[in-house]
Parts: sequence; structure tokens; C-alpha cells
Amino acid sequence: MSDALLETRGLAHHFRLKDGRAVRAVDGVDLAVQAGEILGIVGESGCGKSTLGKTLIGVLRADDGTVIYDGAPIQNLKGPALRAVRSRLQYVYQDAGAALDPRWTIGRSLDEALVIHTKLSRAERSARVRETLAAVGLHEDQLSLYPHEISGGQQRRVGLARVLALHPRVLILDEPTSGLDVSVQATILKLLVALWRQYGLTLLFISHDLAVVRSICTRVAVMYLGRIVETGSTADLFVNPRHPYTKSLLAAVPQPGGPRVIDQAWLEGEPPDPLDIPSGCRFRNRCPMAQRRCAAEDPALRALAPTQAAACHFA
Amino acid sequence: MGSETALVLRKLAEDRLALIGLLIVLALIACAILAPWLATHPEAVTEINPAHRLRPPGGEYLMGTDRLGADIYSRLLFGARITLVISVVAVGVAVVVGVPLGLVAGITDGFVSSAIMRLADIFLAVPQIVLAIAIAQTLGPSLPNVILALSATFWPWFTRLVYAETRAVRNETFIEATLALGASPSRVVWLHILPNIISPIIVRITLGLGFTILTAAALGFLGLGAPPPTPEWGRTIAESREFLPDAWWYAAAPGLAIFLVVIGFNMLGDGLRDVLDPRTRRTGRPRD
Amino acid sequence: MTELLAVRDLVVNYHTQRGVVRALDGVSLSIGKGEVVGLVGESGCGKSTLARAILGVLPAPASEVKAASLSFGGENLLALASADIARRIRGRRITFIPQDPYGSLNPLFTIGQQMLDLMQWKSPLAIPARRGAWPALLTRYPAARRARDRAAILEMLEAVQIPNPEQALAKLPHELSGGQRQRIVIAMALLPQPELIIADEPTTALDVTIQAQILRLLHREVKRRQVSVLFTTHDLGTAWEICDRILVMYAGQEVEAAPTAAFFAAPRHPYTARLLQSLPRADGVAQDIPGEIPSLLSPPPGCRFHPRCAEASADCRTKRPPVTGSAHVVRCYHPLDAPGEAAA
Repeated sequence: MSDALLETRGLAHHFRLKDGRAVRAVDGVDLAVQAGEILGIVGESGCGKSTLGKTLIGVLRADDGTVIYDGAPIQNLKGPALRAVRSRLQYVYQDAGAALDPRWTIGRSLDEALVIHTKLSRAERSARVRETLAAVGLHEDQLSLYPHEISGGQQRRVGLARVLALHPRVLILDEPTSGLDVSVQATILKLLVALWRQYGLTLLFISHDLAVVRSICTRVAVMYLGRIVETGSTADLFVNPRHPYTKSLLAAVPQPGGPRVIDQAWLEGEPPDPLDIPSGCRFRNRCPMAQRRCAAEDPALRALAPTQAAACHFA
Repeated sequence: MGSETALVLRKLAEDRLALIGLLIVLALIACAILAPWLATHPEAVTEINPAHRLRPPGGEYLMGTDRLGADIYSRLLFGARITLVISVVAVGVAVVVGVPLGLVAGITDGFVSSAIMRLADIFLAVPQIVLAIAIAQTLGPSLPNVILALSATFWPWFTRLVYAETRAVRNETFIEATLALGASPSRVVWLHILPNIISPIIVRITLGLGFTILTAAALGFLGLGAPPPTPEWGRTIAESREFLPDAWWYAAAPGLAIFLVVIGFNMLGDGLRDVLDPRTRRTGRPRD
Repeated sequence: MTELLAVRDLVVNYHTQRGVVRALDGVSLSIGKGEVVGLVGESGCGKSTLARAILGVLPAPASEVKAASLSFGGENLLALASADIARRIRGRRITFIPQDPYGSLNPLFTIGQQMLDLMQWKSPLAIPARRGAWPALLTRYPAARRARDRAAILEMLEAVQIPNPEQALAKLPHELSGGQRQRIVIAMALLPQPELIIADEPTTALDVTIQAQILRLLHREVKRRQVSVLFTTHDLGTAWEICDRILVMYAGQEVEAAPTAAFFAAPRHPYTARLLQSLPRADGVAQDIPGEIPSLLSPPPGCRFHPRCAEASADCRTKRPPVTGSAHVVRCYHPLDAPGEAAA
């Protein structure tokens, strides 16, 4: 996997609580992102998918492991070298409205990214902002508005325009469609695919919504309690999930017109307390296939098919 | 920013109490600037005229005369200058010292932050008037010392306020998002955090001006302010005590002036608090 | 099926500083006994307003409510005094499941205290206070009834699959997971033995595996007790899972109502057809609906969907379409073909 554009090895981030305990939100993640792919990172709340994204770009410090971008480790970079990487590797926040300074107009917020990362003149910046604005489907009139004066869908577009103006290579999208109505969600997804093509982007698509991930991603990584439990191409993983957690996750997604989820048997129970992670396989307490071996041995992610790997002794 | 200022002024104009407060404050400033022209006896501020001492209001003397025969009305006007200088300089120094300290304490963690806040706590633990008396007493009664005493006791209020506001804003998503974009910490502090906490600072400055005037008057009353014959309002009230209740105007005029000015600043401050509160701030544009 | 709730031509206007928000424009809805009806629509479609109008908790005096009829169990809710609704109906015969259980449980009191507090006033064993009786807070909670209510609570916690019900009673809301809090809130909605439960997006905040558990639980319990449910949601998937019938709203107007299977098999209103096409698909990105949801301050005349509708004609722009169909109802001048109108 040396040709990966972005890669993590044993990446970890722990949130320390006041009483000295630590929540191992990301706990040893190996992930390779190939140039040009749309990699979905799915999992339920608290699985560490957003934390993983923020640790990747260095907003959260890596407690362990390395992040490699374009062949070189980046987590210890400083000064201009760090800024250069930052402009290529951008994060788009889930709540686009809250990610904009409420006292700044849209135009000023969009300009700021270029002020920070480029030496362009005012006229050049303005031209770049207008060009990006057109790409995300916003109108120039909206440059003079404040974030609270535009709709949720438009706020997402502004959030995208702000980072696209930098011409990044990798975008990490944190729940880019959550909280949107389905028709607006479809519009934003269409826009993302168009931008992905137009700008030749690599996308990390963090989402809890499996249907959305299936419709847009080329490859998927499933997270559970700070670990990646299964990866695979979208086609393989959704049709033939190998890890029991992936299976239960897919079984719980309603499919209008299909068999009803509530009529079927699936896993009961809730994820364990992240402060008290079970020994061995983290999923064993909810797993119908769990054996004695699962408590003793932590299963490593192993390749099961050309595009698919799962962290399960019995997959 | 231009449209926002206009909006603030328009909303302020709708708030009747705030408007009255603003007018009182403007009147105080006008009195201070125009004192030599408004005064009926500008020369009487420092001159002694025993023949006319303790005249009641009316006729030549609008508000009567004091024990040395000086025109109280004229002395009040010149006193407005002293009052304004004391409060503006004292609050200004408190802001210049307190706001940066609060910002530093708010954006850092660990020793520096704790050290600044504990120092502020120590100053806050001593009653302000007592600390001011102690400072003024030690350094001797003079105008600069009064200002020093007031600043020294007032800066922790700004530090605490800025600290709390900074902590709140620091956790907002847009701060993290701006850092994630690649902005330097100093850019985030000056362009994002400070503008978002400026409203409560302005409100506290306004209320602080009124409060400082009151404290300055108290120090003057205790004889710790500027030495005579400075026409300081608090000192004038102190002088008048032995002539009460006969020369009622002697105490009433400066008392009323202090009362009006302090209430003016407070009404303006309360009005600003409502107007500048971002939760009630709307520019009135449609959403889509 | 006997009709439990009948809403005919409900109009709700909010009077705000910016003008009159025409939140509901003559909406009709009926719920039979034991029926689960999904109220589906995007934000601003008026589903929360409709739910609140039935509960009688719209913000007075800013809201103006008119209807040809709003009857529940044979009583005209519009004619009843609001104190009467509060005493006999709300929380007793009509209960509510909120979207966010954390916000609706008091963080300072244990689950047991809050459930007993509910039962003190709303237990089916309690006799509704007469008008002019002692203020409720001054009346005592009879010990014998309290014991029976407590037993009923434990039984209900068992039914909603709370592990160790006795221990759960002693816990504070934040000590439970989101899924467990939602179970508690469902239990509280079932305890007064209501005839109708209004559920406001009860699974929106939950993860997909927990959502499936909660939906199954809710479905089983309401069907067992023959309770009717008005289930508001923006998620067509959850509506598919739990509802017998679906009513789709758009910008304050109802556009289509049909049995769930018939609805998903063949939607008849252009809007609902587009809405179904905008769901994410396995084989690529979905179709979106061009245009935006109109402002309810100045909604388009006629059918409110007409500015975004490819089928729109002159009639659509001026007059609201009449209701057509019997079981599968659609309000459109140009409905899509119905392959099996008789199927329901």
C-alpha cells in the first residue's frame, strides 16, 4: 500500500477525563487512502470516526502512530511545511453553519482561506472566490450575507467553497448530509460527485448513514469502538459483509419496499462503555458468533478477498 | 461593520431608557467640554469671594454658592471634567490591563492561565472601596493616585469577564474550523475571538464608567481625591456637611449630578446589553 | 376500523413580527383505532404544527386555529376548554413521545421519581380531578395506589426491555444511554393507557441499530395494546418500518395519503414520486428536486408544490387541487397512474 496518498499506521487519539481515565476514541487505526477514491468511514456515534478525521489533519494530536501524506509523515511538521500540507488536506465540518464565524460575511469567510494559504492579490483572491462559488452553485449576491441568513443546504455549499478555493487534494467530509432533508441531501451528494470529478479530489466521507455511503463511496471502512473492523469496495462490502458487526449494521437499515427490519432477528444490546472496552475482540459482547477465543485474542484486520479485509476470527 | 453599527444605533433609539441614558452621558460630555463657556462664573471656581458665601439658588447664582462664595453651578461644570477624566482614564487603564490578561488566560491552559486568574481572584477578594482607600491613603491624595487606585481595583473585573467569554467562544465550532483551515492562533484570537466577545466588554465599560464615578466620588468625600480647591463632586458634598440642613443646595447639586450621571451610564449599559446580545440581533433579511 | 381522530380542513396561521406564517392550509387526517399513521415530510412541511394542534399546545395567542372539525373519540377538541383538555385528555388519553428524551427528562430527578410523578396525575387508576377541586399539588398520593402504580411502572419497564428495572428507577437520566432513555420515554407514554400516542421523530437521534430496536419495540407494544399512533418523521425508511398508513405533507398542505405498501409501490403525487427518487440508491446518486421549499410567509397560491413541479398547469397555479381517490388519496390535478387503486 505504498502508493497510498494518505495513510495511517497505528493511529490513536485518547480523550483524557478529569479523573485520569482515558476514552480511547481512536485506538490503533491502519488505513490507506488511494488517490482519487471516495472512501466512506461508517460507524455509529461514539465509534471515533470524526475523531479519526480530526486526528488525520492534526486538529487533534496523535497519541500514537503516524499519519503519512504523499509518502512523508506529517504529524510533527511545523511552520510553513505544515501550512503547505494543511492547504492540500482539508476538513469540512458537519455543522456548516456553526463552522463559520457568525460576525463575518460569507465573502469574508471565503476570502480568509486564501489570505491564510496564498500570496494572491485581492483581485486574484476575489476571482478565485467567485470561481469556487460558481462551482458549488452559490450566487455572488450571497457573499454579503451572514451565515444565519442562508439555508442549511447553502451553508454546506459555503463550507465546501471555503476549502475548495485552496484547491486541496484530499477533503475529509464529516457527516456532509446529516440533518438535511432528503431532497437537499440528494442535491448535495450530486454536487459532491461533480466537485470530486472537477477538482480531481480524494474524499474521506465520514457518515453514519449507510444508504448514503453506498450511493456515493467507492470503498468503505467500518469502525467500531475506535477500530476499523472491516474494509472493502462498496460493491463487495454491501453485498457480502464479512464482519458480524457490518452484517448487523446493514441488517438494521430500513429499505422502503423491501423486507421490514423490525420483522427480522438482529443483534440486541448497545455498544459497551468506551471507558471499559472488552478484552480481545471489542464486539464480542454483542456478537452471536463469539467464542472463548474472542475474549482472549484481539483479531487483526486480515485480507479475505482482493478488496476486502475484516477483523474477525471467524469471518 | 458599517451596517451593524447603524443597526445598533437604530435599536438603541427604540429603547427609551437606553436613549435617556445616552442623552445624559452626552450631556455630561458636553458639560465637560464646554465648561468655560457654559459657566456663569468661570473665574469663581478657584477664587474666594467671602462676601457671597452660602447664597441660595436663584438670580446671579443658579445653584447657589458654597462656603467660599464660589458659584456651585460653575464648579459642577468644571467638576464634570474631573469626573470624566477620572472615570475614562481609570476604566481605560483597567481595560488595557484586564482585557489582554483575560484573553491570555482564556486561550492558554495550565500555569499561566491559573496564575493570572488567581491574581485576579486576590484583587477581587478585597472590597474595592477598601483597596482603593488603602492605595490612595498610601500614595497621598492626588488625581493620578485616585485614578491608579481605581484602575488597580477594576482590572480584575475585565479579566474575569474576558476569560469567561473567551473560554466559551474558544469551544465554538468555527474556532476549531478556522484552526483546521490552517489559520495561526494569533489570527484566530485577534480576528475571531476578540470581535465575538467585544459586546460584553463594551457593556462592562459603560457600566464600569458609572461605577467608577461613584467610587471616585466616595474617595473624594473621604478626602482621598484631588486636593482643594479642585471642584470634585464628592469633595464638594463632603464640604457641605457642616452647612446642612440650612444650605441644602450645597449638597443637593453635586449629589444630584452624581446620581444622574451614574444612572445614565447604567441605563445606557443595560440598553447596550440588550442591543448587542447576538441572540436578539437580527438584520432582518429573509433567510432564502 | 372505527375512527379515533378526525381532522378536517385544519388551518393554522402564526402571527409573527414578519407577517402571517401560513403553517397549515386546510389539512385533513384521520386515524383509526389501533392504527399507526406516519406523518411524513421535509422541514417546514407543518408536521410538528399538526401534532401540536392535536395536542392543543400551539403557542397562544400568536397562533390562529380553524378547522371544519377536530374530533377525538367523539369529542370536539376545538370546543373544549384548554383546562379541560389538560385535565382529561392530554397526557391521559393522548400522550407524547418527544424526539429528544434527554431534553424531556428532568436531569435532577431519578427515573423512578419522574415516572411516579407522572403516575400520580396521569395513572389510569387516578380519578381525574373535578373542576374546582383542591389544586393538584395539594392533594395527596394515596399509598395504596402508589404501590399499584409502582408495580405497573416496573411491569412497563420490563415490557420496554430495560434491564434491571428496579435499578433503573434509581438512576438519573444521564446515567442511561440514549436508547434506554428513549425506552423510558416510550414507557411513560404508554403508562397512562392512552388511546393515541403522538410520536415526534422518536428515533431521529438514534443510531441505526438502536433505531431498529426501538421501532420494533414501539410497534410490538402499540399493536399489543391497540393504541393508535401518529408518527411524525422526515425519514421515509422509518415510516416504511412502522406505519400502516402514510400521510405526506408539503409546505403546509397534505399531498398524498395511502396505505404504506401501496404508497411505496406506486406514489401518485409528483412531489412524493420525486421524494422517493431522492432517496440514496445503491447504484449511484439519487435524483434531487430542483428549487427550494417555499417560505410560509408568502406561499405560492394553489398547489404549493407547483413552482417545482414539471406537471404544473394553469389550474395548479391558482386553485388548490381537490382530493381524489378513496383509500389512496392524492391532491393533484395531474396524479400519476394508479396501478392498483382497489388494492387497499
